[in-house]
Amino acid sequence: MIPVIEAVAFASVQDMAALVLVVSAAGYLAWQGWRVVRKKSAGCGGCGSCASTQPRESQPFVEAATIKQIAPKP
Amino acid sequence: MAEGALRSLAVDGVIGGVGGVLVFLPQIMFLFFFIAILEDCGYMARAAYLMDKLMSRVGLSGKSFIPLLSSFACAIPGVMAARVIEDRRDRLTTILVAPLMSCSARLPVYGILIAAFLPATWWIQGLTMFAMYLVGIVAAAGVALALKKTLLRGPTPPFVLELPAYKWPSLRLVVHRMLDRGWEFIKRAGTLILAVSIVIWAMLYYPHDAATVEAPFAARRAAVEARLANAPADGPERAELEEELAAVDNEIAGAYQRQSILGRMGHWIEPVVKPLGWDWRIGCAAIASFPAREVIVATLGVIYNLGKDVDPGEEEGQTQLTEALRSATWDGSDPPRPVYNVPVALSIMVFFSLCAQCAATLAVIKRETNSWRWPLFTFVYMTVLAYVGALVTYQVGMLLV
Repeated sequence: MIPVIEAVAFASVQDMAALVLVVSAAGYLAWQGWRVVRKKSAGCGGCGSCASTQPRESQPFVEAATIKQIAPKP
Repeated sequence: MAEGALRSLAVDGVIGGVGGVLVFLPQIMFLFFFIAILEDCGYMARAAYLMDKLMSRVGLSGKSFIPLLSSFACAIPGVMAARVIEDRRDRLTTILVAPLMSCSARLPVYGILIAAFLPATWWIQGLTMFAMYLVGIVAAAGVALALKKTLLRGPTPPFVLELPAYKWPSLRLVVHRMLDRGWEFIKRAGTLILAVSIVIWAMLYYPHDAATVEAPFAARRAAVEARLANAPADGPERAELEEELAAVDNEIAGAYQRQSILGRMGHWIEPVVKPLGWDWRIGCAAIASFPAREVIVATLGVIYNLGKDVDPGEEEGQTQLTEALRSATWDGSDPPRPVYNVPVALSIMVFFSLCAQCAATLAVIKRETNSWRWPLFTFVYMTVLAYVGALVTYQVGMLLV
């Protein structure tokens, strides 16, 4: 096993500050992973790079209809 | 700031990682600008109509075209837009192949590798970028055909679509969408990519055991430093010694990386990725990119900049990362053998064009299909396809080079 804990020497404030940031980043990633699994942010907008302007209630860009639907009702 | 962990985290982890991704913001905004114009002018429905005949050859109808075209921006709205397809088999096939379209997250990966390793002729670089988009399209057609002939066999339903009127796109709407997506990209770089960069930095920095790592180099470094102290200020010898000192420092940085957590993990997976022409660093970066593929640029930025003194090149468009990638060599190779060449760059790009490296997309597939079976299927088939594609690309490429 890699002796991570023993090797991390708290020699300075820099070391401690870096470690706090690393733990925060790891915690954030774990939280994000949990959200994806729990479907909280798995919807549109979850990845943050889509083209939809209405992230959570996206509509299809083009409505499709069958002939029956678009034909005028008698 | 004095030398130390926090300084290394800021310079190598944050600036080297997030900075490498942020430089692609203009390209991303251009992509969304043109997609917004296409969406807003009413062309999409016409394109779907025009593509119907072509799509029917792979067992799909024109209705699948819009979800697939949307997937070039992002697979998530593409998968969700497949709801418009009434036929269950067609809808499922469209959902399963939508992640093969080259989304905007792949753009930074292509951009950095094409800029670094393809000849700086606009048509070669442009054709390579186009070829990467084509790889995804051809693979999607092949997979759709295979699915429609096996797992999801069934007739192609007739295609009926109401065409909206053509109109001039609204400049306000197009600019709004472009800025909105640009801001989302920045937010993503400031959250997910920042967090991954910090974790990758930590895995590459710790355990930072200076006594063990630097001991083998101490005598050599001290000797060079002593000669440097006695060298005349303006003499040619001084420049040579400074280069030698930088080389020793880079060797020390390499030794730190090899004994880091990521370095040790990377050496375990190296046998798997070596047939693709990749060293352990690329393998680690590819694995770190499974939650979100654009993370690879940040990861490579951290891996290749950490502790190293890399001067940005003088050529136009050359960044510190492209220079670092060009100068990367295989560990222990004597004389130093470059890791990257054109087949390796193409192999990485083909892998990224075919691999399912987006957790959010897989989660949406699960939601749309109401089962974990289909996202799992997507992940497995795309990963296998990506590995085989990258393997063939590298092996064939090496035969031709």
